[in-house]
Amino acid sequence: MTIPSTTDPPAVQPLADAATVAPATYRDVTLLDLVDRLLDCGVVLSGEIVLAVAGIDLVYVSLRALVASVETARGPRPEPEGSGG
Amino acid sequence: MIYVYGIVDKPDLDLAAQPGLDDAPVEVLAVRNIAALGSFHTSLAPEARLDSLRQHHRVVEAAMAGGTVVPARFGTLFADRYALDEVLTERRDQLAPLLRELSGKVELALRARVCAAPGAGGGAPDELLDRMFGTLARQSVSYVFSRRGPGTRCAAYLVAKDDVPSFQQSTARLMGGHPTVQASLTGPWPPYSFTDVAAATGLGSTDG
Repeated sequence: MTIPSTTDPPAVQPLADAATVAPATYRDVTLLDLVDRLLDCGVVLSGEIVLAVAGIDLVYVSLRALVASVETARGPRPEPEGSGG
Repeated sequence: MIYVYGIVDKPDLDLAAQPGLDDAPVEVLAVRNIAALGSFHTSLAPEARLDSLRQHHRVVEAAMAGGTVVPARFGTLFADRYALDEVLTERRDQLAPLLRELSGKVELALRARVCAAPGAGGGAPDELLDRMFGTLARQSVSYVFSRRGPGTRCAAYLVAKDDVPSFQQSTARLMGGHPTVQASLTGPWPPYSFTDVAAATGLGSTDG
């Protein structure tokens, strides 16, 4: 498990009027959105192997602590059926 | 084994400049008119570390810059080319239409919560957020609502690339007018949350 350095976020454009978002947390939210998308979304092509990814709980626990101020509704780990609609 | 980053509709896509996991070169592995973006490894046990997640994401972003991509979930591995080709052949009738639907579109991620006590203005927090998220849903091609809690909402919106600035402005206008609402809009992301045709066309949008 690596604690996020926040030095290399994905390409994003912040909310045009970011007055409601504390600047210190915006990058953290971006990280959380990145992790959400990669672990909880994306097309599942080979079911049994993707479930073998190690460290999902750890990466979420760390991010939860990091963005506790904006993330209040998260469960302990992503739902396995969270892709698509 | 082959680690897969996503599916594209351009078998001639060149991703030579974008390394994959463990810095392995990313190859475009085509089956007729669709292709998987994959890297070959003698052994690989994907671990959910942020550097690995970012590496996966960079490949998907590079593919999106060159066309349309259906992102694969992190950790997608195939034993060999035969196993991969078999799945691509089986799923081609779903993936090809999905690639067409996703062409020219990106995903935006919205999180919001109401920080003030209920009744502090603007109505009940949940109703306020539902109204806001619903208004934005009508400006999107498709949407997925997820992880709703008391006074908290998350959503992914599928938006045409050209409409991203106006969607961002609408979000800012909508959320900025309510001092009790704390919100973040990130993206444009590759369409991670829209990985079947129903979701990409709005038929499979969830509310809850």
